Amino acid sequence: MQAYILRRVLLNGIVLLLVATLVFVALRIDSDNVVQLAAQGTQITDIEEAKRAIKRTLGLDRPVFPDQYFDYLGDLLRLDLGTSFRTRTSVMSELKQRIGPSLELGLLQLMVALLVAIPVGVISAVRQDRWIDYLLRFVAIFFLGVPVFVLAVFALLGAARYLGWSPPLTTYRDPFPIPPFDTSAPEDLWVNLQIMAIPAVVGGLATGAIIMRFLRSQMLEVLRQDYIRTAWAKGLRERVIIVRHALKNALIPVITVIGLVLGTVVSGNVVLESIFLIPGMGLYAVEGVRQNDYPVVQAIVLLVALFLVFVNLVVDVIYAWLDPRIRYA
Amino acid sequence: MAPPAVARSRPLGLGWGILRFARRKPLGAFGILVVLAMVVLSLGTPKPKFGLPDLPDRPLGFELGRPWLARYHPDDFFYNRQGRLAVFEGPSWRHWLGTDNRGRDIWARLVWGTRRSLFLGIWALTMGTVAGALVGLISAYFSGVFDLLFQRLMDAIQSFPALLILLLVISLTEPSLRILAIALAFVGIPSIQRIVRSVVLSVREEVYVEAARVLGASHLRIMFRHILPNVVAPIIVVFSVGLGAVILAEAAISFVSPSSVPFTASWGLMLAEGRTVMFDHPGMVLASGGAIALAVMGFNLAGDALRDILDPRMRLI
Repeated sequence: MQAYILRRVLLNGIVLLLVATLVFVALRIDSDNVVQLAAQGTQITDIEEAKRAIKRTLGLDRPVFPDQYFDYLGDLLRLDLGTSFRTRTSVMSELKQRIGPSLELGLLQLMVALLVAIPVGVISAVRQDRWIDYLLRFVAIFFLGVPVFVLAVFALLGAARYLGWSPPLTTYRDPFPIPPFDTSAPEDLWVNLQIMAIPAVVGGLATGAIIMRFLRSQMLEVLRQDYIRTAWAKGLRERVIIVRHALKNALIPVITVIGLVLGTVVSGNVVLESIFLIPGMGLYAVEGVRQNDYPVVQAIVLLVALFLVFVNLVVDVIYAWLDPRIRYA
Repeated sequence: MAPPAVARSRPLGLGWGILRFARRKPLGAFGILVVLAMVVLSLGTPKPKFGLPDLPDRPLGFELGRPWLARYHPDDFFYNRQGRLAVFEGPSWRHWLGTDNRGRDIWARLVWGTRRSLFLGIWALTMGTVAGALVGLISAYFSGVFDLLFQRLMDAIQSFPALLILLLVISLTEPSLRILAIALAFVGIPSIQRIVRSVVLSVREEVYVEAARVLGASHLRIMFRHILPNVVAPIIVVFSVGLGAVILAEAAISFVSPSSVPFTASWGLMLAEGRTVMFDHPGMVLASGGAIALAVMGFNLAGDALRDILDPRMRLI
């Protein structure tokens, strides 16, 4: 087991380094536009002087390798993610406030996804090819196909028209509101949940569809196994067989899917947060793009990618712990 | 002795083939119908104006005129009988889906947007497929340390969620559809090359490849003449499913940051603009959201059906 963990850590460590390098290279390919836009945003009248100052701040005037590269890596290790062009404060301090709502939304979505996907996947597999299976698979295909943000907008519309309810959103008249937004997340739990209700449910259902299809195929495989036939032969009840024997084994590969799906969850949340004005990291990234605040965008992209690599590493290790056959692959 | 008469159980022919396909895979048939509808919507009379291929109106070097099914230009706005701007009109013979918040015809904007999305997707996917196939082919053929490191690089690229890469690219450059296409291709390369790589790894050990090597074929000849043809079927599947994903990513980006994306007739932009008024005038949101949903679903379903026909082994889910 230790050898396996060591292998995965080494390989993923290389991936982490490559991720950081890719983001580093991205800016240096053609930094003119970023510098130009940042210089235009300052108060300095002489554009050339402003550009030189910006370049000095970003460290772009020094040789790329080794100076810039190792400074960049050193900053990353110290969790210094740069200074925002707009607010002139450290990106990290703003991120610390923004991460809460994003985590909350993500966890709620994951909860909804698992709560829906596991029963639905099991039912669909156990009653394979009956009408309920076709119906559930059709619904899953629908939630897989229709994009999350379209679903969310339709859900908002539907809730307003048919339920007469809309979440307590603050600003809604302007489609592209100019930041900064009111980033104080509502303290009241009930208001908080109301705002998060539609994005959590919609995002959860979309993610749940992916998990459900995968779980269904895994269940189908497991249910054909000999030990399940033995359980039937022993006379165990259907529910015991499904839950205690089949589901436990079928769920293991599903854990890897959760790791894969997290990437789409983050992408989806960028859009969902900008629709529902949830002051999380996704909205922060959108603000950064709209205001040409490059350090913010770079920091968020970097953090998210590093987080995903880390999650995949953890998922690999958990998977190997649960299923010893993997350790020797 | 006369040869035994062979009875034909089913009539052959293209028409019957299509009907059989529709009955066996109704969802796939629906998907392909959606794809065909999108292609038809994008068509327009070609004009003899040539130039470098560019999106969205000159994808193949010659300029495509106004789409046949769109009566107006996407930026044309209209006035009603009282002489005021015809905003939020309902469906009528003049405006099939009504007008939007600036008096522009919704159906026309939808059709122009179809062409934009379709060609952007085709461009992005062609570039991504060519690049990904090459990468996968080379990486799997010359395996070893090179393959190991290259796969780590692909893993690194894949850890970036597509939308965030697009946001990064948008914040770095002056936005243009060409750059968006390149960015989308870049995002798709890891998945494409992984599929190509798995096919190449399995084909590499076949007897005919060994025979070719013994006969003195160069690496290049083996790669392109013997191994690559096996890759065609999975590539077709990847292409069709990938188009759905690309259209989705592009719509999401236009929705989230429309000022960064050129060309106003974009489904994502229509959805964003319609959102403010949707409680009173849901027309814009329903039209653009419906178009996005239909397009992505159509490509997904078509890709699933193609995969089931061409290579059921690829079934992950």
